[in-house]
Amino acid sequence: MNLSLFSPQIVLGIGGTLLFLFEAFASERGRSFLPTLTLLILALSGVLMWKSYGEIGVLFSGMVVYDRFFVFFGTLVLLGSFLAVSFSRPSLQQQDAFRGEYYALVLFSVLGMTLLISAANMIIVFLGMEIMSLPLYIMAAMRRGSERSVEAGAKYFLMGAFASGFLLYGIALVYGATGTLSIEEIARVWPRGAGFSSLGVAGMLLIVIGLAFKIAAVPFHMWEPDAYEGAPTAVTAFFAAGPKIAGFAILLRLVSWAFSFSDPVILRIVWMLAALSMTVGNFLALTQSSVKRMLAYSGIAHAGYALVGLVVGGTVAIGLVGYYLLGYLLASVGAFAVIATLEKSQERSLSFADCAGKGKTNPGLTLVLTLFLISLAGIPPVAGFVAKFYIFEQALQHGFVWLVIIAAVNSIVSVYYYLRTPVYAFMKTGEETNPDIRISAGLVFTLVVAALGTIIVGISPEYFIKLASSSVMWFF
Amino acid sequence: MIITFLIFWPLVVAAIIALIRGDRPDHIRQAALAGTIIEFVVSTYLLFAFKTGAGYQFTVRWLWSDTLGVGYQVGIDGISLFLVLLTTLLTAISVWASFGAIQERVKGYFIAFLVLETGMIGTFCATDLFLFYVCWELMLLPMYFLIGIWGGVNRIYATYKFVIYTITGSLFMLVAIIYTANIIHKIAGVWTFDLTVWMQYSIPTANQLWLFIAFALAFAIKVPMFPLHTWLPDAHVQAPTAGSVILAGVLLKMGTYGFLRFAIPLFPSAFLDALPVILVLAVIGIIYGALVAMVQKDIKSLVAYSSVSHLGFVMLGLCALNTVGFAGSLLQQINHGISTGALFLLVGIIYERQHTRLIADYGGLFKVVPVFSIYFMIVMLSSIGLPGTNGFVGEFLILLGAFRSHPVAAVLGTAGIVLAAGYMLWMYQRVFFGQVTNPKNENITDMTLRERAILVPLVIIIFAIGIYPKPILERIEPALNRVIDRVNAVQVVEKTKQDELLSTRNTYPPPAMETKSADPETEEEQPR
Repeated sequence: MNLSLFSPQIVLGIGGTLLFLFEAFASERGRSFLPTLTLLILALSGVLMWKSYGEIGVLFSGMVVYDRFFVFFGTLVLLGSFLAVSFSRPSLQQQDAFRGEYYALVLFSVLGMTLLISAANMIIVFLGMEIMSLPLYIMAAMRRGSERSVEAGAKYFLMGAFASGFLLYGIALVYGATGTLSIEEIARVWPRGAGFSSLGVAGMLLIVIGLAFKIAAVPFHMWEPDAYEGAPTAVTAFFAAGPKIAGFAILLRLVSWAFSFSDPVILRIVWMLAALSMTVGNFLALTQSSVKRMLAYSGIAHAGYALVGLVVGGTVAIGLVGYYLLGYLLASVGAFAVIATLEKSQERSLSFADCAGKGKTNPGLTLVLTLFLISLAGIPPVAGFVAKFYIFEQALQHGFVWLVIIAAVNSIVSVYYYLRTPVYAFMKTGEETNPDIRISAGLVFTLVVAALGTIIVGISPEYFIKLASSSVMWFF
Repeated sequence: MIITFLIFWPLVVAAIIALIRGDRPDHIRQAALAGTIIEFVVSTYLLFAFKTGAGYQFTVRWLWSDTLGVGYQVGIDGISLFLVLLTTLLTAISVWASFGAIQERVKGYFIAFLVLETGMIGTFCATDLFLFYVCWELMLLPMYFLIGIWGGVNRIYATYKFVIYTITGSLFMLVAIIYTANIIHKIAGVWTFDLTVWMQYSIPTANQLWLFIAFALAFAIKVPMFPLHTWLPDAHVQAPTAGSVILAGVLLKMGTYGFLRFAIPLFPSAFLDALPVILVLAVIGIIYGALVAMVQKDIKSLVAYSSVSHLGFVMLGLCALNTVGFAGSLLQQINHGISTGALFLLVGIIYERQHTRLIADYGGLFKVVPVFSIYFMIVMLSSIGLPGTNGFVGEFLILLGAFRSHPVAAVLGTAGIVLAAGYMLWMYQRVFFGQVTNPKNENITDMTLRERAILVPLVIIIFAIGIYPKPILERIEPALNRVIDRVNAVQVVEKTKQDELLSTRNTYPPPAMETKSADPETEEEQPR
């Protein structure tokens, strides 16, 4: 067994533990180094992840696997976390939520995500999910003084517990139907096409529901707006970057490797999940007055678009989900970073009205925010458009015409609310005074990387799509 | 190469402007003007290098994504040549016209304008449908900011309406583009969005209708055809003058251009099926637009509604389905860009002085500002279609073509010309003739040198096309004939197949007769 293939996770685990200890004994000045240390550990984990790119290794007697899929989605998670941590300190301090534990929790949560992505056994799926989620609940409630934040944490925790229950129950039923927990074994005995045992189908359905909670697909999305809004904004950026992508990754791995959607009932259910997520997410986003909440609903809608790729299935479409998530991650983390900076009050989150006139006082910030929102809305030539284009293309190629029409109608709706922020920022007049807005080096880094990424991923998609498709190639 | 230069040069200028300090608006204005004039001068080279009847020219082909067959592929043929020239000319003029009107956020304004120019040129030159869609959407954002930031009082409502209408159409078009690519993939075995490849195959008739509807919806919103026109008056009235000029002059042409370039040749049999509907809507548009224009109190919205009427004519010409009608239709697109653009400029000039556009606030202007009044009269007469001006040639050809295939529609369309004379002359009479009733209007300065310089080229073109349209017509006809041939080929097939359809469609002259009867006519119009 080549343990170096597991080193990304080891680094994260050890790093998290050390940060916990360091935090406990460090002085106030020492604590200010925590973000930098976290970034270093994340970067080191990323480097180790790419060191053996191309190899395939099964570790711990079939518990964990190292493959291109792990590298691709692991990189997405690390990149998202890196960007979210990079601007976090001033933003957390401003919202009175800067605590040393946060950084250790980030590392533990990322450890859970990487474990989840590399899972080759149902037990690891569950373990990874729990290691990922428990820190998230604490992070959501990081603003101890704020009712909203505590509510966010409690809601997230309760819903998360439900989801874990579904997942666990599903795993148990699949075990009952197949007699094994190893994903590879399940793949071998799972019937392709007809001949599903109802036990197996029920188990699979429960697993899909459990994961649908994590990616916030309608009707399992209720927690997301509250958790996103209540949590400190830097944490929200992390929520958008990490758990959603890890949840999608394991869903893709299970669906494309172990199960197949050839059963019409299951296919129809995922079809419904995609259609509902897009529609409910977009239409509820229309009615929001808080930018953060609007982005939370838009996150639900984007889960729907990405699920379209899952419904279609096949190497290309599944790979495209990865590409789609990359575009979503860059734009949404970037957008949350801008919001975190523009926010003034601690209790109320940034509303559209607060953005009025910001185009004059903070032209740079609002311009990049507009770029991210354009990408989310899917207007060319940035990443969001290209991703949507490719997903539509795959879906039409496989005959999912209605799903594409639903997605197109939803995209029209979404333009309205995405453009609201630029409308307020550039076209309405607000206070002319420039409130105390601190632009830290970390924030600049996040925004530059996210903005350049959004443009580059959009302008030269071929490389990224090949990377994503090659990561799922060996499942088929 | 030259097209690539035309597409990206405005972006380069925009980048340069972005580097100029915001507190030096004059430098920004000069850089924008210089950039757009260079663009125009370079684009006139196309006119000389263009080989009549040679299909797509100046092509560049560069594959961007080989798995999908998506690429940067551009080229110009007779259909797009003059639209590109119109774009570069109107952009330079609009930039110059904005010198006085735009005092706030000058930098952003000109950057938006230049990005808009890139989008427009790209849309007209793209021969790859993916690139076409990207450029099509690229036009949306600058226009959204131009209306939303520099527009009138009700600008936010107008800009939302504009964006939502446009994107509604274009997203369905996107789905249809991908679906068509999928069909081509099934027939040809390759993934490609190259229009020239698409044209080599014919889309199965069963699929055509829905695809045509999706394309036509996007284009009909842009044109705009009745009843999808309601965004237009709002957008026009609220947009800054230069925005209106570009909106009327170029953006509306995207719709009719889209019909000519994509919707009709790609889905000819669906077009034939939908033709009665389009014809009726076009005629309704002509008359309804004219009637509504007549009762407008605001000069700018009068001009906006007159656009609905004029674009109805353009669609009527497309419905004629013969060379004369098509040529008139394309010519009228250019004419409308020139005349209506000039009208908006003139309305903008008087608005800058008096800050009102209400007809009732004016009266007797001829005595106060004679030069302005004469310019206004020339442009107005061109818009009505007086013989000797460009508008006459376009409308005459359209009606000539339409009479051959749809006599009733043509007669009704003629009523539109009468009404146009009515609303324009009535407005002119109320604004310019009589005594000066409003004391505020007694001391208006006449047109400045800059304003005259902006309008002189347009007036020259008005007369040039009006007196000698041959150079344009002979360049556009071969490309138009290719489109007509595609439709006729379908008609022949359908006629031989279905007799009962023949009896309902016998208003179309059979293709053989068509070419016979069309030839002497075209020769009479433009002796070769």
